[in-house]
Amino acid sequence: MILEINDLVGGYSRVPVLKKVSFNVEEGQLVGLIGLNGAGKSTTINHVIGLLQPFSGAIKVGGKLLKEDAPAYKAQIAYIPETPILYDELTLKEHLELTIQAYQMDEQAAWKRAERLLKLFRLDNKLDWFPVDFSKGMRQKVMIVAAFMTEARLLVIDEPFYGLDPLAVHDLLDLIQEKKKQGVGILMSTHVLETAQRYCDRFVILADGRVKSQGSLADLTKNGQNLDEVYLNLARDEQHG
Amino acid sequence: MGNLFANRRRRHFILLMKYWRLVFNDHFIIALFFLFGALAYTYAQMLSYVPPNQWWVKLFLTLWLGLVVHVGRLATLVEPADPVFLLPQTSSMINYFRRARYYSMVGGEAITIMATVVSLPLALATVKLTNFEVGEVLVMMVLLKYSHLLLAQRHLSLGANSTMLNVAGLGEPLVATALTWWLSPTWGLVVTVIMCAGHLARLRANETVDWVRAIRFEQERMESVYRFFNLFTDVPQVQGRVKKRTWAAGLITWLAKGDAWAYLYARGLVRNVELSGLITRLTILMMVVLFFVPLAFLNTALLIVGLYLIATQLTPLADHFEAKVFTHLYPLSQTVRQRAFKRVTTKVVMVVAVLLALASLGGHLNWEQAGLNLIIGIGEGLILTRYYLPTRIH
Repeated sequence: MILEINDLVGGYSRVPVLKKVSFNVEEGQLVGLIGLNGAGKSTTINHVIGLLQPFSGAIKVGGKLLKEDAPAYKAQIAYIPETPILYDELTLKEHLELTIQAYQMDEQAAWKRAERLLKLFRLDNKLDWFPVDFSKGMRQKVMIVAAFMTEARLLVIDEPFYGLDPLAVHDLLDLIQEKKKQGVGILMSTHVLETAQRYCDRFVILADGRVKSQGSLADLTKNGQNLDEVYLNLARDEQHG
Repeated sequence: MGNLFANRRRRHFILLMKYWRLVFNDHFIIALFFLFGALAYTYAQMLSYVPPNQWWVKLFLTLWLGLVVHVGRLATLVEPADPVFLLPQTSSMINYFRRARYYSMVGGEAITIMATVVSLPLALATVKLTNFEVGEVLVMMVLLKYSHLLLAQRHLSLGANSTMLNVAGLGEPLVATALTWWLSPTWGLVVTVIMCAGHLARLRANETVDWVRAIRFEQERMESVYRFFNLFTDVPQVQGRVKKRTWAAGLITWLAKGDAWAYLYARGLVRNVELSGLITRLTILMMVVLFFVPLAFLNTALLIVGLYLIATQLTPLADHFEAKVFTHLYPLSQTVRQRAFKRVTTKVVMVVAVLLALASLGGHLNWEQAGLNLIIGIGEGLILTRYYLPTRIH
C-alpha cells in the first residue's frame, strides 16, 4: 500500500473540511478522486502532499508519516497541480535541473527520462524558454515532465486534462499506464468522468468532506449505469438531502 | 466629471499616504539624516571654492533647472476601464483632465520651487543677481513647470505629434534657463511667458483625449511611483519582471553553488529585475556618496548605514518562492533552506562591502580610509548575514 489515509479530519483553519476520510491507493493502481466543487478533493490532496496538517487521523506514504520524517515522506511524492505553477526566474531546463537537485536524483538517468518526455510533448527545442513565453497548455506539460521524470512512488495529479490538446491528453494517459506498470500508485482528481471511467482502477467519491462511496466501477454501478449517472444521482441526493 | 476626479484623487491620496508612512520608518529617517547632513555639508564646503563667473557653473545651473521641471509628471489617474465605461462622456472629459492638471501642479510646483531655492546659493556665488532678478528666476521656473504640464496634456490629445512635443518638452526649458544664466533672467522669463501662452492656446484648440495613450502614460507613471515605494517596502503592484541576463551566468553559478535552494535563490536574486535592480541602484548610489564625502568619520558612518540598508533589502528574497507550492514539496529540510539563504546573502553582502570600500578611496586615493572601511564593512557584513538577516525570516 503506497498511500493509506485513515480517519483524516482536516482543513485550512480550525473548521474541518474533511470529516473522517479513509481510503487507500495500492502500488500500480490509478485511483480517481471524484466530487463536486467544494467536496474536499483539493483539501484531501493538500493533506496528502503535506501542505496541511491533519487535525486527527493519519496519512502514510510508503508506510511513513509526515511528522516522523518529512524528507523521506516527501521524496516519495510527485505532484501535478491543477493550475501550472512555475518559477518566473527559471528556464524550462533549469526547472528540470532544480527538480533533479531537489529530489537528489542521478543526473544522467534523470535527464534521459526527461529528454524522452520533452520530445513526446514537443518541448525539446524550448529548453531555454522562460515561463512567460509558454502557453497554458505548455506550462501544464512542463509540470507533467517534471513530475514524471522523478522516481516517486506516489503520483498526485489534480485535474490534469484542462488546457491540454487531445494529443497531449492521450500521451498523458499512456504515461500514466506506463507508471502503473512500474508499480507507481496514482491519485488523480478529475471532473472528466468519461476518461476516468475508462482508465481508473478504483474511485473515491467525495461529498461534503466525506467519502460517499468507493470501489471499482462494477462496485459503484448497478444495472448498467455509467459513472456519469452514478455521480449525478449522488449529486442530486446531496442537493435534496 | 470633475467629481469623478475628486473621488479618484482622494483614493489616490490615501494610497500614497499608506506608502509614505512606510517609507518614513525609523531606520530610513536615520539614514536620511546622515545622507542629507553629508550632502548639505559637502555643498556648503564646495560653495566657498566656487569662483565667480565660471562657465561650467552656469552650464550646471542651466541643466539642473532645465531638467528638474521634468520631476513630477501629469497625474491623470485614468484607468484601463475608462474608455469603455466613460465612452458616452468623452467630450466632457475636458473638465476631468483640467482638474488633473491643477492637481498635478501642486506637487510639481512645490518640487520645482524647492529645487530652485536649493540652487540659488550656487547661482549667487557665480553671477550677481538683484532681488528682482531672483524673483524673475522663481517666476520663470513656476511657469516652466506649468508649461511642462500643458505639454504633457497635449501629448494626450488625439493626433498629437509626440516627436515634436518631446523635442519641445526637453528643449524649451533648457533654452529658457540658458538665456537666464548667459543673457539675463528677464530674457529667460519673457521667452518662457511666450512659450507658455503658445502651449495654452494650442491645448485649447485640441482638447480631445487619446485614451490609449493616456492609459499607457498613467500606467507608466504609477509603475515608477510603485517602484519608488518598492525601495522601502513590498508593493504588490510591482510584479517582478524577469530578465535572463546571460552575461551574469558566471555570477549565478557562483552564487548557486550548493543545493537546490541555493540554485533557486541565486536565480531569483539575479534575474528578478526588482530585487537585483534595487540592490544595484542602492549600491551605486552609496558608492557615489562615499566617493564624494571626504570627512573620514562621516564616510565610515555612511558606509555602515549604507551596507545595513542594502543588506536589509535582501530579506524579501527569503520568502520570494513562498507562493510556489513546490518549494514545500521538495524532500529537503528547513535547515537546508536557511543555510542556502545565509550562504547566498553572505556572498552578496561581501561583494557590496568590497565595492563600497573601494568607492571610499575617493578622488585622492585615500588607501587608509578604504582599508579601514573594508575591515569594518566585512565585519558588519558578517554580523548582518550571520545573525541579523536570519532573524528576519519566518
